[in-house]
Amino acid sequence: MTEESDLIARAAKGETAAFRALYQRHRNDVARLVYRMLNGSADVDDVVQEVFVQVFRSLKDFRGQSKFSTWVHRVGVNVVLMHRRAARSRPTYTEELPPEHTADEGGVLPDEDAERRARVRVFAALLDKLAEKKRTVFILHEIEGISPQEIATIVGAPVLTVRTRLFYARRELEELMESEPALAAVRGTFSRNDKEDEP
Amino acid sequence: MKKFELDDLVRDAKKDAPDVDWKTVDEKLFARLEKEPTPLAPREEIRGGGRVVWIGAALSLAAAAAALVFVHPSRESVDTHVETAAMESGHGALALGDRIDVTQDVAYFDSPGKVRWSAPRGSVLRVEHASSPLVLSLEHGAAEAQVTPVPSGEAFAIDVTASSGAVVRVAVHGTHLRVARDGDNVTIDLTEGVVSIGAPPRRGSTIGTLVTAPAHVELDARDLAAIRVDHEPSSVRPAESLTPSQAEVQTALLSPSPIVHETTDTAHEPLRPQLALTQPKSHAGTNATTVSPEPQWLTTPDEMAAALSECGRDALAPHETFSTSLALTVRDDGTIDRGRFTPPLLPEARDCADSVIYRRTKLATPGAVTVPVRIVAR
Repeated sequence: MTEESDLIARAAKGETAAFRALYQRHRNDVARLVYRMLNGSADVDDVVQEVFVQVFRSLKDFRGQSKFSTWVHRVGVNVVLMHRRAARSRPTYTEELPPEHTADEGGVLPDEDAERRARVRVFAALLDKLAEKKRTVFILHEIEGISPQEIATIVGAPVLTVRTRLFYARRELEELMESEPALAAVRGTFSRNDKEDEP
Repeated sequence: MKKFELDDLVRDAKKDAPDVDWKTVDEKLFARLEKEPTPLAPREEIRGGGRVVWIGAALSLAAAAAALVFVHPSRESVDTHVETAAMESGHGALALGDRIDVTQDVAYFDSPGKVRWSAPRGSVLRVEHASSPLVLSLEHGAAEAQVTPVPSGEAFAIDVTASSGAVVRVAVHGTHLRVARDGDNVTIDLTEGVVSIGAPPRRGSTIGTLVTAPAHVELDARDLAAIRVDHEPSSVRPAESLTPSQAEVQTALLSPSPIVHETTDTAHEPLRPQLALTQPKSHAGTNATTVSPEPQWLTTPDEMAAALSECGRDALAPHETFSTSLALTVRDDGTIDRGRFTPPLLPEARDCADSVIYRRTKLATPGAVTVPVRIVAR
C-alpha cells in the first residue's frame, strides 16, 4: 500500500490527520483548478473549501480505479460547475465584456505584468462564452495540461468526446476572437495538436 | 495591446495563480469537517459484511417491503443461501452490498412501480445502491430490466467494472433494456426508451453517450470510446417477459415453504420470502412492455413546451425565469432524434427534459422543429 493510499484509507475512516495530509498535498492543484474554472472570481476560497468537504464526504466511494488526484479533480470540477450553475440561475447574462475585461487598446497599461493580467482577463472572458462542457475540457487540457484520457475520467465522458469538445472549443474561441473587435489584436491559432484533436 | 498569438494567452493564463488565504480556508474547512458525521466504512468493508444470495432454480416469491423476487420453479434444486450481517427484519428487500448469484434458470425481481428485472442462470450481480435508484454491478452474465420512467434523475443503473478497473454505467431513465457481459465485452439491447452510458458520476446523473431505442450497443468496458451503436431493429435482441408465467406463480404458491436456508448468523433475520403475502397481480400473458404504463404522447410543440416548463422549476430562485429554445430533429415516426437547447438548459432540468423529449413525445411533423421553453420558478 502506498503512502497516499494508506492516507486515503485512514481518511475514509474519519481520521482527520490523514485527511489533512491529503488536503495539504492537493490543495494547491485544487485551488488552481477552481481559480481557472471560476475565471478568478472572489469565490475561490469558498469553493476550494467546498471541494474538500465533498472529498471528505465521498472518500468512502473512492474505488482506487483512477489516480486520487484525478478523482479529486473530478470532485473539484463538479463542485465548480454546481457553483457556476447556481450563479447562472441568477439572470446576469450579458453579451458584452464587463468593463474591467475590456482591454485598454491605447496601450497605457502601467507595466508588463498589468498588461499580462489584462490579457488573462480578456482570455477568461472569452472562455466564459464557451459552453460549459467545452470550456471545462479546454481549461483542463490547455491550461492545466491534463491529458484527454485523464479528462475523460474527470468529466465522465469518452476520450473521443473530450477530443471533440477540445476541437470545437478551439474553433469557437477563434471565432469569438474574430467577432470581438477589442480582441482582434489577440486573434491567433493554436499551433499544437489541432489535427490530433479533430473529431 | 501588442499583437500576439492565442498561445500567448494560454501561456499567460497558465502563469496566473490564485491568491488563496490558506489560513482562513484551513480554519473554516476543518471547523466544518468537525461537524461532519464520521464517514461510513469504505465500500469494501460494507461488502464484506453484506449478504450473499444464491438463487437456485426454484420459484420463490419474495414479497418484501420494496422488492419481489421470483425464481423459476424446480423444487429439487432450491439453493437460496443467505449470509447476513445486517438484514432488514423479515424483508427480502435488497440491501447495499448484497451479492446475487443466480445458479439456475432465471431470477425475477420487482420493485413495484419502479423496476422489474431478471437475471438468467449464471449471472452474478451486486447491489451498489439499494434505494432509489437501484444500482447493480453486473459481475457476470446478464440482466434485463423494465424501468418505469421517473420525472427526474435516474431510475435504475447497471455498472460493469472492467478488468482494468474502469467502470461503465448504463443509467436508465425509463426503458426496457438488457445488459450482458462476457469479460470486458458488454452488449446492451435497448428495446424502449433511452439510456446514458458513461462513467458513474460522483453525484447527479450519468453523463455519457445517450442512446435511444431501438439500439444494440457493444462496447469494451475498458475503453468507453470504443462504443458501437446499431439502431437497426433487426440487430436488437427482442425484449423478454420479465414475469413468470401464471403456472409458475401458482406452483410457487403451492410450495410448502419459503425457499430460503439460513446458514449463518442466526441472530439476524434471514432473507425469508413470504409466499403469497403480496400476491402478484395477474402476470399471465403479460409481457415486459406491459409493465411500464403507455405514455400519453405529447404531439405538439405547445404540449412539449408545457411539459418542459415543469422541468427544473425547483432549481430556480424565487421569481426567476429561465428561457431557452429547443431545436429538435423529429424522425418520420414523430419521435425525437436529437434536441439542442440554446442557451443550454439548466443542468437540474436535464433529466426531466430528456424524459419529455425522448420518452413522451411523438410530434405530428417530422423534420426540424423549434420549441420555445420558459421555466418559471415554483
